[in-house]
Amino acid sequence: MTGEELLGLARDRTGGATLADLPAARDEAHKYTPFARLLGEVPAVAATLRTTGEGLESTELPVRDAWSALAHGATVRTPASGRVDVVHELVGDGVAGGGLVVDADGDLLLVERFTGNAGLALPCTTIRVPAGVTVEHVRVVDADGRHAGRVTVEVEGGGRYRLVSVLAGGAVDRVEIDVRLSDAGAEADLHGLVVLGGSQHADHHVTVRHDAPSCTSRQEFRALVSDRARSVFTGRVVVRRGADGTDAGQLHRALLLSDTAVANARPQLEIHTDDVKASHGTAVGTLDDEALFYLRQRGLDADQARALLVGAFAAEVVDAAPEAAREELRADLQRWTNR
Amino acid sequence: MLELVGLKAEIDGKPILKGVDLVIRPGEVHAVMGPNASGKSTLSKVITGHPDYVVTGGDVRLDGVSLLEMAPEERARAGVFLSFQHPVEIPGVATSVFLKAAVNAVRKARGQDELDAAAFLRLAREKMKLVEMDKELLHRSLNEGFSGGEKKRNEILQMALLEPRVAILDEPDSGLDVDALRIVASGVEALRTPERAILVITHYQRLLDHLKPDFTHVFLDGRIVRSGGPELALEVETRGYQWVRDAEATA
Repeated sequence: MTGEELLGLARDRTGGATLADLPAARDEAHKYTPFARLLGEVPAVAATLRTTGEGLESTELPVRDAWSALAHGATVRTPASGRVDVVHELVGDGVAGGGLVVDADGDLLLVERFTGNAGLALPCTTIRVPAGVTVEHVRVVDADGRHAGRVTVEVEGGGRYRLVSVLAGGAVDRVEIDVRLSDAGAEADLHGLVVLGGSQHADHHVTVRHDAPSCTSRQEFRALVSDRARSVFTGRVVVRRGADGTDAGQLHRALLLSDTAVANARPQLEIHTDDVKASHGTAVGTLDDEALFYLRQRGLDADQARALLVGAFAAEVVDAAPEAAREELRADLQRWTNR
Repeated sequence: MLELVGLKAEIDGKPILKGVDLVIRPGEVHAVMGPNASGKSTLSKVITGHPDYVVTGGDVRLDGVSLLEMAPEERARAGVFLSFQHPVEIPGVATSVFLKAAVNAVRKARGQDELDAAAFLRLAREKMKLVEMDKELLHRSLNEGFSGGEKKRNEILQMALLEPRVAILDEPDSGLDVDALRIVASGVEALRTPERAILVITHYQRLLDHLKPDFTHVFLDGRIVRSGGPELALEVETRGYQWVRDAEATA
């Protein structure tokens, strides 16, 4: 499928509404994951993203781009608190959008899971975190197809947003995470993990916008990469003029489990104020030889020792998830690291 | 039991061990003393099979069987234990998970049944008393944020759990205050059995005051240059290593 064909499909859905251009080949944000690569060999036909979960209701989503156009008619809105589980299943081999609009009205745990056997999913999740509310969001892409997702979050004063994003699915997965801290005292705590093998490719593209003073953001994204797989992480922090007292931290760690595995990391800090505490770090490495020797000296064989260290690396991300979601994430990890 | 025969080893092409001969019989405690960079720690790494070191001559035998072709885990399962000078911190691996995996790996190799969670916990709690270790540490990541004393006690706990035939203790006293030293030493003392051989590597006499060795060896420039009884340790303590060096030079 080409980009033109994708736009054509989107226009069919919206009766010819004008659509914004798709990312072009030269688009810097798509440097390591060209849009053409995401589209790949997916047939240019519409598929369905079947979204199920308790308390969901269908509404229209304003058409802005191919994402929202393809989500037309398949949008769900949840004024929500407590725990909400949502499964997005891509049915058929083709392209399908989907949308979830979440207006939290109390503390919320949102668990989104993406499944399917083929095709390309273009889902967008939009979350508003009102003042004083904590939204915990666990987002797991575990589909065999392709995934180009968007997460757009606005956190109001004193609101807290915590995300654990996991990409462990198909040939190419990419998720754009855009979090805006719009009033004083808002917090974002973003964690991510990719687990890749074969020739898989996954890309976490994160933007945190500090639009107000005294907001705090943390990013910690990890990658476990084996075989010929590639992990990409871009972490952008934009601190607006006047956003004094900003505290922004970012950490990226990749563990390469083969000589041909690749991890690309791009921290991008755009800071337009002086009163700011910002840090970033990236570490791409292999398993620690001294740790391996220590474990083997205690009788664990080399494979057991490696599995324990790999599991530990990923487990630290799982531990960042809310208690109620950890057990299922642990089970996922077991499955992914054993395949 | 443990025999080192003309053992030579190097790292990155640099010779460190230059022909070490040593025999330790069951029930014996041997102390190896020596200044920094004399190769004492290398000795422990070579015996246990650290992949960074290349053995260029001689042999290491346990009950007459060479260990040199065996992987580190095979040596461990055969009963060779190393208490590390610097125990590795492993974030994300709970101490209890690690200990249980180690105990069961060794039990399996010895043809014993693996312990289930409850049986392991009972065993761990019992052995922790030996080194006065806080039970809470079981739930923490392995050695992460442990104090120097907690790390060393954790090493001795592992020795107690794994019941090795040969235990090599690489500076179990380094970084310990007087109380922690007493606890570590009494832990080791309690694990001294007629069947077990123990090799203690240390700089200082003070550990040996608690843990009376049967034999003392002075290690200089990759070799044992002098061997004797417990009195040799005292002599080193009062006269320093220079005295041995000078004696070597004139010999």
